[in-house]
Amino acid sequence: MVSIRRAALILASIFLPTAHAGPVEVGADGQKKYADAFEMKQSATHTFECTLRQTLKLQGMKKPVISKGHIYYAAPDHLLIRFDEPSDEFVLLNGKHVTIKKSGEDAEERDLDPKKESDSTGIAMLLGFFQNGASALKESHRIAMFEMEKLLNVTLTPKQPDRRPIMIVTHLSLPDLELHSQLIRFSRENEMSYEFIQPQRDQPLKEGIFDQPVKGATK
Amino acid sequence: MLVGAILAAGTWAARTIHFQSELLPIFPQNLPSVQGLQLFQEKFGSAQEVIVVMESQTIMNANGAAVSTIEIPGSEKLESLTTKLQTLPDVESVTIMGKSDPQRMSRAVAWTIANLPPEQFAQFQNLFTPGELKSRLQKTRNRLSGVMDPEAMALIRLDPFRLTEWLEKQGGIHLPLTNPSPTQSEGPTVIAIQVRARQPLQTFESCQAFVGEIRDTVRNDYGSAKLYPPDAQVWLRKFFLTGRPAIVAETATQMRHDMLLMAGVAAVLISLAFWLCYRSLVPLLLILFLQGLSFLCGLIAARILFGGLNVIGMGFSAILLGVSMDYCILVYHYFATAEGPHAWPTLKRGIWLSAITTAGAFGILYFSSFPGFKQLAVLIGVGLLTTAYFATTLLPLLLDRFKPVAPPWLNKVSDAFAAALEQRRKLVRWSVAIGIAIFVIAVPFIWNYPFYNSDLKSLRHSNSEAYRGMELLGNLGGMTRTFPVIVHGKTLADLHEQTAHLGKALSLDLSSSLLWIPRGSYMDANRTKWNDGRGRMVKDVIAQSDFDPTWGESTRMLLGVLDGWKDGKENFKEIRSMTSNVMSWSDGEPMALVRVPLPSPVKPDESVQLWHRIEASGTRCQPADWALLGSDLNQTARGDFQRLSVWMLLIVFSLCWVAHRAMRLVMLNAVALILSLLLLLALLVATGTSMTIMSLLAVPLLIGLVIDYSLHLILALEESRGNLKETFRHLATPVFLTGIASVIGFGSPLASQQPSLQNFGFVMDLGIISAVATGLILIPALYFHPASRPHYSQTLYRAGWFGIASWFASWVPRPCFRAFGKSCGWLYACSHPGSVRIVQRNLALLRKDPIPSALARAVFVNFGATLADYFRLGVCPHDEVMRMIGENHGAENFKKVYEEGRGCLLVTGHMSLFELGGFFMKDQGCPITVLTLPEPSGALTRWRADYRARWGVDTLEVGTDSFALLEVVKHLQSGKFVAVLVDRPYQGQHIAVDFPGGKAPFSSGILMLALLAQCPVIPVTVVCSHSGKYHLEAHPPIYLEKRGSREETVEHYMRQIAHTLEPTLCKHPDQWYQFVALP
Repeated sequence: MVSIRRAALILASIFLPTAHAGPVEVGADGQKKYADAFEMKQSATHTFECTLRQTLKLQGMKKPVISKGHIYYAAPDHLLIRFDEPSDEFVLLNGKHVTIKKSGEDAEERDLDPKKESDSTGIAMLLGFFQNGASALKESHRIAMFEMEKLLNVTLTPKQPDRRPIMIVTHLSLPDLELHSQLIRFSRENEMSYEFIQPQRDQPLKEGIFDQPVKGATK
Repeated sequence: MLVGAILAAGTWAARTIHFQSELLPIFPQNLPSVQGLQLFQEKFGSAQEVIVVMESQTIMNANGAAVSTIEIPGSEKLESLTTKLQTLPDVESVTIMGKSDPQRMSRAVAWTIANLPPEQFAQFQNLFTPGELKSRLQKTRNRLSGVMDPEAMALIRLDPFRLTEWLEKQGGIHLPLTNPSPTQSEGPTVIAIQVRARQPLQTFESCQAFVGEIRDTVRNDYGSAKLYPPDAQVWLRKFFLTGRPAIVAETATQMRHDMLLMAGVAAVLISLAFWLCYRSLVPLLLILFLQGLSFLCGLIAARILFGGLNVIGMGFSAILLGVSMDYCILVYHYFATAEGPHAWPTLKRGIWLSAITTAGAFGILYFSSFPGFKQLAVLIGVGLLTTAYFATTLLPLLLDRFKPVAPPWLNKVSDAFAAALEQRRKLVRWSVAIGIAIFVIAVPFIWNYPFYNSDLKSLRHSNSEAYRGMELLGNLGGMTRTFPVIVHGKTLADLHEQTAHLGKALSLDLSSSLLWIPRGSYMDANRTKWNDGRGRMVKDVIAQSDFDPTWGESTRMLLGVLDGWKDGKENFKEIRSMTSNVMSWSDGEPMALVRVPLPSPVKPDESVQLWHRIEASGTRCQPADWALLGSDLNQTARGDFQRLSVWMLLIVFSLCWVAHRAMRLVMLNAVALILSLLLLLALLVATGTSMTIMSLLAVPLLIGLVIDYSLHLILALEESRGNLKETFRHLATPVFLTGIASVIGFGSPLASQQPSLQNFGFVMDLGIISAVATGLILIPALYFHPASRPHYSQTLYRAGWFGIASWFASWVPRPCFRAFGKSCGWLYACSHPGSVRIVQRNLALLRKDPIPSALARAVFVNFGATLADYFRLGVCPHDEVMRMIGENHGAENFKKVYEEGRGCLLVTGHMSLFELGGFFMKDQGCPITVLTLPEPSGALTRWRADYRARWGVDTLEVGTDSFALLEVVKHLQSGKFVAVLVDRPYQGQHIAVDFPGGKAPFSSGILMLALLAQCPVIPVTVVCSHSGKYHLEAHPPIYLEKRGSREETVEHYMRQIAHTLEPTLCKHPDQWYQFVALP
């Protein structure tokens, strides 16, 4: 069985082929320092905005599917991912209420069910990262950190072996601990990654951006 | 001959009777939930299927490390096992459930597609053109960009052509998933193998044989258990057998075992207790034999009337053993203690009354909505009455031969117990009062206590393999709790429509049920129209896309099955037998089992509310849900309880009235019943126990025992006039022996490992303890005999009332006042049957013929009129009093004695207005003193003395003070007349004088005083005529002369006096106001 550290190292080397120096594991004290600092940074953030690049790899697909868009966050619990490619698609989270709009389809609205695994690991988990650095995952996951030149690799693996996703890898830029990218691995051959490009914090967002932008939404 | 016939018929009944292990037949058959579940079991219950459930288990130690693991067998081992099961001669098919089987699921979906209406089937075929497939694949590619639901990822890969969407629009058909969702855990934790028998398994024996066959095969191949941990010798079960045949086999085996165990242990322990008490073996065997005969009679009745015994009906043997054993032991005790023939009629009467009353009480259960209780009512009735018959006819004949003798220590213990209780009677009464007060205060706190646990799971054995397997099966594939409904339709299309309508009405997704309901018989037509070879087209389209060949595998598999169907290689037989939820009535009308999903978590009354909504939808359907059944049963049981308990109490108390003919005693029966029930409830609360439908039998047992004990005890107490020692000698040992033996007998299941049995035994024990405590302690402590109470009304016999009555008498005309007095007397007689009985017994001394109770009541009526005159006498003028006196005879006797200058003792009985004698004497110029016993209060003594003083009559109170007696002698010696009543014994001194109906006691002590004073005695009588005038007669004076010893002299003259009074008493019995029970 591949250990968490080794898996994280392999992933880091694959994910960041441009890294100049090898990854250095962060000790327990260092982990705490980084975790506290990141939590503080996220908690202090009122708004966040960046360009988003989403890459989906599925078993049996000859090439990955790439989507582009923007992500908007406003404390305490508003999150919007609006896609430009494909256009007319978004996912909006206001508290526990989620609205999903696929291209050419009516929007679907519902409340998130915390007991449903797919709900708690999807956009709700992403919102948790913005709110407090996903501190809730500390209880249920093992954490490993590696310093890789200008990036910090934070790898979370569930303590229960049968839980999904099987791994969450977040890269933060150093030393400011800004969100750089995130990889969510659902199974050995199915994964989704996000790249956060040109992030901006605490800048005023467009007014009404989190309002229900949909007509004819189905409930 | 009778015994031989019973033995023969009983053997036949025992051999042919059917033990019904099913629960549904004991429930009300008119309940929709019962009808629905019966239909479910009959049509959908898979009477032919046994399911082998295997669960992966990991046992962790305290540190969270796995110390032992049971793993589900791998595919190869599973295949090997199913092959072996398949080769068994009685097995028709074997199917693996729970493990992903794409081939089987493809077959299932293919079957639903094959059942599509022809136009939809044609549309389905039209989806498979290269253009349509490419277009659909491109749309799928587009869906993978942008917003992505992780859960949808796996589905997209399995269904790249989005046939799911199309099929769902046709009626909710889902394509099979060959892989779990990427967000779900991998690998099943439960696997089930469904083994179907060739023939329906109708009988217990066939179920047992088939289940045994499966068990042996699985055990040989896979092993039955794994040792965990090796040093603890604890075995983990590796598989569970469930399904209806497994439940029937397990339940019936367990029931037979339990009943035999309980009956056996109870019989042995009762025998042991009996032997310890009486040290007698042969009579014990005789008693057990007679009990066995009664049991056989019940069994014969069950066989003839019902054909079988259900779960509740089986309880009859337990109740019979508990209640009717008492009859036999009572009879044995009677013979062993040689109580004498006079006690036999009372005992016999007690046994029959008890049997009839208890049988009557149980008989009311016949009108219960629960067929199970109807059976119980009949069986208990038969059992009790036959036991009463055997105990009072056969047993005496047998015991008469053996002449049993009870050990002397029994009486000693019984006497000591009686003495202890006698001394602490007040303490017990106060304890009861305080206990009731505490109970009343505690009612708000225990109001919501679950005295009854309606959960039908409580009837299951905790270690039930079959039910554990059923629960595990529920976890298979992450099943959610559903509410099963049987929907009816006239045709398949109507059935489909009804089900769809139900889904719409409930706003619920019933697609998983609709999936398996064909809309008509379209398969043959569709088969001819199916164009095979579509799989190749799909493969080509995939090859030209961005996806590898694994995409669309399920689609190709589905098309392959349909091709096989077209070629005749696939007939869907296995799929139909496994998944079909559609059955038909004999007339061909179809019905479907629809599982309506319940929201999670399920609320307690969710099933009830859902059923109300289903009913409101207007769909033709029946519920088949156990939770709804539990709720329905609760409601019915509550209704039954309210309806039947009134009748049951009415029957019990009516029969108690027949037994006692006294409200006081019937009320004591009622109080005993209430106290024992309260005691049972208190014990349930104190021990934190709830009753189940099985242990609910403790209530009828309790009622039966309390009626039995209270009837016997009260009859015996009445017979012995409240003599506790005598009563306990007759009854304490049998009651205690039956009680203790039943407690041990019913307590035997406590030693078992089954909580349902433990609960049954424990609650039964609590019921018996309540009954015995009530019978041996509370009833004797609360009982009072009228003889031990004052014969007068403690409420009315007061100076205050006398004053008021006297005031009324001063202005109400005499006839009206007499009529009022008579009415009061009549009312008193009606409301005090015990007092009437005492008077009736006293009057019996005056006649050889039986005294009608009407005559006794007439005494009270006349006494009312006499009292009216008594009060009138105190307030009316002298002339009016004189007018009240009609004839008077023998006045010259007074004058003669008075002129002799000697005092005289005037003796009379409690006859009519005897106080009038004092007035008459004074009027004749004779000074008179009336001797009286102390009144209940000083005020009343003064009132009555003042009353007499009004016309110059003195009152001399005599109590235990011997100086008062000297005062009497002085009065006599001074020449005064002293009047005294002699027809009531005083301080135990009396002489029994022969009267027509027996020996009448006359107080003899007073004659000693006459002897001392050397004065004559004049017997005097006063009677009232029909005209309301009083006739007085003074008999000739009797001069006392020595006739032997002083005692002999007194006895001689007392007899003479008594015989002087006797004719008047016998002539006017309705004016003999003898309210005290004479010894």
